Amino acid sequence: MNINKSIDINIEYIENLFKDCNDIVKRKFPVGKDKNVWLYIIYIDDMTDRVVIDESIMNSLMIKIRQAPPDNMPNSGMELFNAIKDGGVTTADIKDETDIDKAVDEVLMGNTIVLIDGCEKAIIASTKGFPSRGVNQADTEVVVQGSKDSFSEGFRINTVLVRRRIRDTKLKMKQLRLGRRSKTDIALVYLEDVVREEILAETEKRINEIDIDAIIDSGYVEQLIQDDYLSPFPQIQLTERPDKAASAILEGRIVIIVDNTPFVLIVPAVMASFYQSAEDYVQRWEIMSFVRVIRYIASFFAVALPGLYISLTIFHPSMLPLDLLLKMTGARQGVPMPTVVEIIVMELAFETLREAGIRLPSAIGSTLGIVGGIIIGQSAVEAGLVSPMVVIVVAATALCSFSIPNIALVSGFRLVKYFIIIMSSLLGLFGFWSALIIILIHLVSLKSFSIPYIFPFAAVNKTNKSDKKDTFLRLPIFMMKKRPIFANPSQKIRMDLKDNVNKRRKE
Amino acid sequence: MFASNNKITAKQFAMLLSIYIFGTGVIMLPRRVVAFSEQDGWITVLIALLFACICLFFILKAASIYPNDSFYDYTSKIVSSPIAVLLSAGFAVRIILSVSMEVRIFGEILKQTILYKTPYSVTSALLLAIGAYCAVKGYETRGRIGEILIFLIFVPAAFLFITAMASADYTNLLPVLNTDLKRTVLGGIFTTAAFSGIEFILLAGSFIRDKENIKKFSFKAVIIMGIAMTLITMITICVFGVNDTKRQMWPVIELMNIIEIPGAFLERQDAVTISFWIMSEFMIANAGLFFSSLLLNDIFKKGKRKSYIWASAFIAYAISFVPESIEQAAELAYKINIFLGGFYFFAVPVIIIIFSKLRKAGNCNE
Repeated sequence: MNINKSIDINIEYIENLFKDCNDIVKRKFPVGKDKNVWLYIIYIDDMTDRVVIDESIMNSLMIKIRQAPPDNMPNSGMELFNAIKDGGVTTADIKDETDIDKAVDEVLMGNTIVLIDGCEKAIIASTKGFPSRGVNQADTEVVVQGSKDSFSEGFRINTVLVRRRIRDTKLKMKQLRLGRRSKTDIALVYLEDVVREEILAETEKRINEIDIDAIIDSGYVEQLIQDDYLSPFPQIQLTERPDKAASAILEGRIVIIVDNTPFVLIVPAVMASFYQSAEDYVQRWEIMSFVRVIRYIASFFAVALPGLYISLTIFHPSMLPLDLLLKMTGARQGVPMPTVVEIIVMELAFETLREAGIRLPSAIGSTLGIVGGIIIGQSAVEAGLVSPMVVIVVAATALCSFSIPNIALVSGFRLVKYFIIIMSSLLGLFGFWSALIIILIHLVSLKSFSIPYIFPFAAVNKTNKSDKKDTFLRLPIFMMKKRPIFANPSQKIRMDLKDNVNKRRKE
Repeated sequence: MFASNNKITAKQFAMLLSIYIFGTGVIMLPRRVVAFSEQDGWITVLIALLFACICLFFILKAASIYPNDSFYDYTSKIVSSPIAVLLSAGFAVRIILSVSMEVRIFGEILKQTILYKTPYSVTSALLLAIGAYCAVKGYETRGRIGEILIFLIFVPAAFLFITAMASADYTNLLPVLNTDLKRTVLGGIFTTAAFSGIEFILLAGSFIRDKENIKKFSFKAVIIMGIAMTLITMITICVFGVNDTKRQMWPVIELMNIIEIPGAFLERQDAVTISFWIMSEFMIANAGLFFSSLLLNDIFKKGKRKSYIWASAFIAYAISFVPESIEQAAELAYKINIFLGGFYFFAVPVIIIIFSKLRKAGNCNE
């Protein structure tokens, strides 16, 4: 609806909309030589910066305008509108709006609107000032070396954290609003010349197709735009680290910042991206390559160890060395449950422990670790309920899963582990390999925004084989001259080492 | 970028072909060739490689006449529709029969080696189900999975065979060329069936993105696999001698069983061998189901390809129960590969080339 000339009609409309909304501040007051022009100001308490409202808006409108010589005082509403826009309000970020619903939306965003009697436009002043916890340390992606800051719930804080790292006019932040009721701000952040246009268009298309009442967290967007909702594996990368987000943008990927969420989304994401930690690129390549290899081996055992244990001990004990077999058999003496049940019970107990540990405050969390892990585990072995080998297998599996630097991938692995356990308990090594092949088929058929999920372990050709330099091994930075597959082919080269640098390196 | 067009590269096709040849050919190969030419069995394999290369040449030539058409479409253009239907149906039957015998043999071997109490009906069903699941995902998925499995199959296999060389008695290969040349050459012709899989080029040509590379990569795959099979035959003869190689049903699996890997953790290697053979067998099943579904879909021109895949899997499963024993299944598989396989290896490509020349069809003069 358009703004009416009569301020009273507008006020009635707004009052109706904000009926029983006690957090809304509204005030009607007169200005002008004869106090015959009425203004109406409206904003939300505590979602706005009161200093800006009081000093830049109210001070000008209520005091400065009245102090002006009588001849200079505007008389009509339109004159007053122009006077306010041309300097009456001393804040840079102001605009006008003719649609009253859009103006109301601005109020809900934390801005302030001023309606003027006799004028069909509203003035909108940017006064956003939400309570925020500021920039804190990253909790879920901790590094020893590297920047410590993390994204927070503040939308603008997050965009600034990226902008600080890429001071390029090509860095674009395309802003959208999602959620019919939540009207959540979302920004697509990318480098205009590096991003692949088809991926950007596809991302925008998928986001624009979302029709939902509210976007509470970036997880909503993730689930609504991912390629395969049935897959337990993450197809979009989440990070709370601005350095990781900036690196992704420089690789040609798109970062999606969602208001009220400290986790941003990165698209596209391939499986190899989930094995990369921010720290990998700030430490020496030899040690980080070693760590990478450990991560990949650990991820195999995080998925496969319980299944492998079941296959070998139940179906193919003759494969095991005799000494080990005798020890394991001895340790199982008196255990009432079959090995499969033993493994599943212990795995579920560990899952419960992990879940409980996450929900509890950190001080109690460590106590829970001691009670659950040491006391219950040890007591269960001593009571003969489970064999020590099973405790070792479950603990080793958990340890391996912690070495993977991405929680979403670990969660996927946690789930498929049970599938392998069941298949192994039914058909031994054949079941074990069959389960792995089924998982492999699934992974190979997955795509993230048209990029094969398994890339660059498969689907590599001459033009993108350099992507392998950052997979099992993290080769020296100077060798990674090309951007990965995500980047626009015209911007493939990211590093141009001068001759003297090459010479020095060779020496 | 990666368009979802169900196409693969020539390199991916060559990888799939290598896995297929390895899976179908290797397990019984030494026993078969020794039966023809004793200690010169490895020469028989080399002769088979030569024949396989000749067949490959004709297959590639036939597939290049209408490079973007399916087998049914280009045979319809060249030899008329009714004959195209017969050829396609025969091809589908040949593939389904091969798959059914493969899964039967595989299920029986699993029963004899690692799953003593599990009936082969269970393992065969699971193998076919996984193969069908992969085939349903399309050729792109198959191509990518081939890229990964080739390392998981061949790297450990190469390591085990190299280790086996340590316990080999190379005098078992002597005297060289001391057998009847006629039998050696005849053995070579029959052993060409070990390269079963190359005829899939007749079906896969239209799915390959970089068609100009098919020739290079296909020959590479066949020659590398031929050399690998020659070496495996030599090692087996060296380790077991001619008589023991003849006596054993699965000499290559037995070979794996007796290897002693220095510092190895495991007591038995045969379970490990079976592990990478499982991957290879799964690739055979999925290739068979994929190609048979293509042919059936083209013949009937109705329904979704997915349905034909599951139908082929079901038929293959049912046929796998026909042989009374594993020996009978192995014999049937051998005969299917020699006679039906030989027909599609050699006769069909030559017929296609001759007819295309007569009718001046497609790229017949290139």
